[in-house]
Amino acid sequence: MSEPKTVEALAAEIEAEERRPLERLLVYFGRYWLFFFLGGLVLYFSLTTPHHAFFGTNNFKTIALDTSEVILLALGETFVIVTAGIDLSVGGILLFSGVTGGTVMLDLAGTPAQVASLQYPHASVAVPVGVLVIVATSIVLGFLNGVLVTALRLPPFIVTLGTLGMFFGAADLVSGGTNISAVPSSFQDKVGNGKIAGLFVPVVIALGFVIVTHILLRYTRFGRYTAAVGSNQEASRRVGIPVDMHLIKVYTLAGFLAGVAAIIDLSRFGSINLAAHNTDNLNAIAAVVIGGTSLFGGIGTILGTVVGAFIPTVLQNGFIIQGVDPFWQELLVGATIIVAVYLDQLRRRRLS
Amino acid sequence: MKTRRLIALIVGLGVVAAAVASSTTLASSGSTKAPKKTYTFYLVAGIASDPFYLTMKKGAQAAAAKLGVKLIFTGSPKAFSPPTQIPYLNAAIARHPDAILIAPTDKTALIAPIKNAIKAGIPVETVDTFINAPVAFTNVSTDNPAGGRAAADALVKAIGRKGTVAGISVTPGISTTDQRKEGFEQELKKYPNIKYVGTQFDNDDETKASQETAALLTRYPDLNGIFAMNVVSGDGVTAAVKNAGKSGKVKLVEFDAGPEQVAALKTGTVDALVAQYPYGIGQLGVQLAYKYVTGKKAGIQKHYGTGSAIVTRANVGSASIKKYLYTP
Repeated sequence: MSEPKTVEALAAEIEAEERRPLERLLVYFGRYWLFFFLGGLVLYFSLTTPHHAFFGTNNFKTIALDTSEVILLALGETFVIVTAGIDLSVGGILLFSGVTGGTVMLDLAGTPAQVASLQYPHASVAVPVGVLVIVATSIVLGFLNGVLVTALRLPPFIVTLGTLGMFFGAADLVSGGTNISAVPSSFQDKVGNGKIAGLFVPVVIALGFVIVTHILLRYTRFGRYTAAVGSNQEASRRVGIPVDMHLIKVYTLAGFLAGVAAIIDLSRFGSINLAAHNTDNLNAIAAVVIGGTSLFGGIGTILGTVVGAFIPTVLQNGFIIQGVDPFWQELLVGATIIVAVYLDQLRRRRLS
Repeated sequence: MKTRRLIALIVGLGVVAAAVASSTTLASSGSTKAPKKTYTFYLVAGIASDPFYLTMKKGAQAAAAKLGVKLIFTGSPKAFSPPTQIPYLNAAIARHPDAILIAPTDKTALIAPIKNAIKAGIPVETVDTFINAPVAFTNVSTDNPAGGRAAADALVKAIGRKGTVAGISVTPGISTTDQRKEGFEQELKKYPNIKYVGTQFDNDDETKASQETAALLTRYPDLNGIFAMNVVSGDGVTAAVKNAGKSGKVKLVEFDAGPEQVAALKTGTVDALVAQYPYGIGQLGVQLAYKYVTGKKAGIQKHYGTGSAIVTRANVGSASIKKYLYTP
């Protein structure tokens, strides 16, 4: 099939080579492509919504609030996916730790009669203890995932699919199949609805963990091990990286961050809804993958994940403000995500 | 190393298998020792974790205890949807009870599975929701169109008879919430100074409901009122309005009276609740099924409406309203 190059083709090649500086510039911008895409969405919605309603501090604050929970789940998921693993159980960890902590919180806050009439005489003890129980439970569950993945040598997909079911079932058992509701109102006022420096507390918490995990993945030995294990597990083992121990740590971290998300969920709604977390894992994985992390491991960034988490929320918010019909919203969100990731992949292919 | 791990695994599985075996033998020996025939009814909830259905369960259990009926409450705690509900219905059919009470999660998707139950000789009664086929021997439910109309009246009154209002519902295709929405929209037409900007759907997820509410508040800065059409939608809308610092400014009327909703009513974010009477639905449902299976079929009507009540801050403490508040 291959024919000798014509003079014209050679000329075109030379011309293309001369264009390289421009292309290099494009590549440089391309690295931040997703940021530009998100910025473009914000600009588009700001210009097209009636009275530019989208473009407002309060709207940005609520978008950030709505995204904080999925960001926390996605941060942990980023580490797991960079190790070439996957954690399908994050929604289960969120639910089980939230239900357990919420139950403890309600039991300690007052007698059942007092709680039923929204009186919480011991809220000052019950809330911090409940939060600690959530954190401790989530760490144990994440640790369990890590141990099962390494000790049984099973694919993380299977292990976490299994534990997802176990955690959901355990949450039903602990709660007796009832949504946990009406936790002390002080918890809602101070955390879910509280503000620090004008920002909602859940947003501040999420921002804190974004900074910490960004540093952890990018600048520490922990991050380098994570990428190394994901690129080539066998090679990592041979150069002396304690692979199993590291994987356990990564799954424990993902569990812990799901616990933090549970705290935010409980404090925002004053309740934990047994039915509301079935697709948390998909939302988290979607944020990670939209953000450019490879499902095959080795490559990934926290900032990409953050942008990936924001894109669906911004689209949903923007479409509603534009007044798009509810049935069209979901369709358009899905289609836009495909376009964004396709363009990102095009850029990557050209880069390599 | 590898063999040891394998042995540990086998031992572990063996222990689990033994535990399961012993628990099933215990269960079956328990049921065979029943002294004489008692009627067994299944109550299949729309979603077993919702305060509404848990309150219905209490009413059903109370009636069952009085009649000496064994009542088994079942249903998915995970989702209000046909794919999650149908396995619970099929499992109930497999146990061949004397009657099945079910809150179908879809007007059409549940027709065939319910017909299967009837084909197997089990009478079926629909409670709360219904299906688009007259195969159930009766239906016990709230008058949802009337509830939707009452919600419209309450919301219009709360915002001072003029302004912009929106709705938040679960998903299209559910008999109850569809009727609430229709009743609400119909009634709004009576008020010329009300601008209705449509209803968003949240798939029974409070995070999505709050996202949608936040966006609506941005889109319509002059939005005066929202009607949330069930427990979960209500909880999401309440959270979003609180977060926006608009408690009391944007008037909220919500269907149902779950614990969070009642708390929000008392603290001022919610202005009125259209409370159903799930305890009564459960109670009447079991009584009717008992009548049916004991041969007194003649007097049973095709539909029974259980009342609803408008709960406000003024009447929430009163004795006559107490029975309408959900107690999961």
